[in-house]
Amino acid sequence: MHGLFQLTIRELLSKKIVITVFILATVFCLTLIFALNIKIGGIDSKVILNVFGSSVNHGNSAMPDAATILGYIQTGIAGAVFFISLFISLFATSGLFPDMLKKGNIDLILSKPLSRQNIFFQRFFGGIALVGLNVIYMIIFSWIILSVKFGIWNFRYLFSALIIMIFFFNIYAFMTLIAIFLKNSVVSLLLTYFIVFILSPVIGAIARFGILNDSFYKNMIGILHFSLPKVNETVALLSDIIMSKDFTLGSVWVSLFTGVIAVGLSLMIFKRSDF
Amino acid sequence: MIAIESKSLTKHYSRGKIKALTDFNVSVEKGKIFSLLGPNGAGKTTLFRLLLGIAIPTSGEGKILGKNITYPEARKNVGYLSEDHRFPGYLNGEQFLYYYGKMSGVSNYDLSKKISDLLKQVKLDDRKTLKLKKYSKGMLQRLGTAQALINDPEIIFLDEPTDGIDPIGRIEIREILINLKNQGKTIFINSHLLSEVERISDEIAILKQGILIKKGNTGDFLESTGKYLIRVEKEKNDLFQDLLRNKAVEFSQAEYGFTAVIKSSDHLNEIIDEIRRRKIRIENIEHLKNTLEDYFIKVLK
Repeated sequence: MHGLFQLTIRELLSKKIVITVFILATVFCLTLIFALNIKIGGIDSKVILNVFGSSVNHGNSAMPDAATILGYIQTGIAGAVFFISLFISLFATSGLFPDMLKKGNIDLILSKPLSRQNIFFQRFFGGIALVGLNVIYMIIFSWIILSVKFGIWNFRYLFSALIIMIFFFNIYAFMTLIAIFLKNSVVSLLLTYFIVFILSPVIGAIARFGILNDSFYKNMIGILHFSLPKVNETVALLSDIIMSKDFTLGSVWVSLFTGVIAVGLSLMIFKRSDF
Repeated sequence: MIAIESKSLTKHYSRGKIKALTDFNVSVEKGKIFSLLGPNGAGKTTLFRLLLGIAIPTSGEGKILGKNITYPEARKNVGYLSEDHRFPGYLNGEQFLYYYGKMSGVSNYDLSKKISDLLKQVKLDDRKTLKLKKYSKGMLQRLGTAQALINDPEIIFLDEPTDGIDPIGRIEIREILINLKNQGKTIFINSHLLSEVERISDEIAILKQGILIKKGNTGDFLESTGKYLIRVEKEKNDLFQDLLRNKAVEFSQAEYGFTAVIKSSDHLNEIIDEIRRRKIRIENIEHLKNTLEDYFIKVLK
């Protein structure tokens, strides 16, 4: 009965983009193995970092300790995975619902002994599963390499995969809602990119710096800031977790909450639609 | 046993402005081939969509094998071939049947054997590894038919099953359908090909503007014209015309013989006896009936 889940994964694999990301992640991790060389030793436990055979200097100031350098590298990788996987994964999954809803395809799927709820979730989680596998692979692979190289096993770095996936769930849920409503993959993708990469950071900045004085607009910005995906806060959270700083999970809970709302609305529209 | 049943099944769009189907009542017995006829926009596809849970009824109810059509269980023993199917081009024939078979609830154990048997049945076993984007329309139609049979359904819904298929392919599909009927399957067809429908259907329903115009056994639609086409040996045509005049039979010369108005079978036998008595050799006698096409055009005009 999980044929649609399997078919969704097969469909994503056929687009090659997911496999390309997987190959790029592997190449990146292999590059880490061969290009990054760390020596920690001496009386003052001095760190000597070599990349492609060249020594990395820290300006005039002393080189930070190994754990801090590791934190910087892991934060960089997590940030890259966050933005790149988000950008590419949204692109890869944008067609999942609009394609399924096309006449001649949806008819056949709905004629199977599956409830609409079941169809929706198999499709939705099929998309999340493959993206999740790629993110988990990249984070775990890079974690093992860096841990072996530094001799420090920073388990908090592994949580970044979970944070990235929760954020992806949130954005993917928004994109699905738009896709089910408009039944157009290009428009839903462009709108999602606009929300994630333009609207959300701008609203976040307005809310953070208190630019508006009028209480009505202030409240509107507050509501929008609460509802929209939290890009700035998630990137900051990734850094805080990896670097062992104090952090709050507020943005994660809000992402989960708004994501669930978007999924609920999408499901409601899908269940009530005629095809 | 009733396979498909609907009571006042209605579907209106745009707050009742578009009446796709109104108060449709039907009852199809198990093991029959039931065909839906009607011009474009008559509501045939809407009925299919309602029965298969693709569209939601405005009012009324429908049942498949006693189960309400609003529940997925009603579609457990159903196979469906849609009219404008859009099969994933990145799959090959074998993979397509695998995924859609899984969606139909067929176990992995049964699937491999069924896929192999069905691909042979629709004569695609030599193309099973070819990507669907390279299939012709006819091949896709045959694969779609195989897909509709993957779960060994009791009821098969076919929307234009012979659409885009060449005459040989049509004969093959017809043979598959008759074979399925002989296995006790119920087949619900929507087709524009009236000659095909006439050949294979047990029952027919005609829809117009979302309303059921007539429903009945196929024979009910094929009324006698009361005329016979009689062909005798050419050399004795004059003698035969005299005979008809003597017997006061209204007749006219047709391309391949004479069309005679004959009141009853007794009357026909009487004429045959007379032909024999006059030693005229009969080459052909054909009872002329209205075709389904004649009836269809008459009803819809």
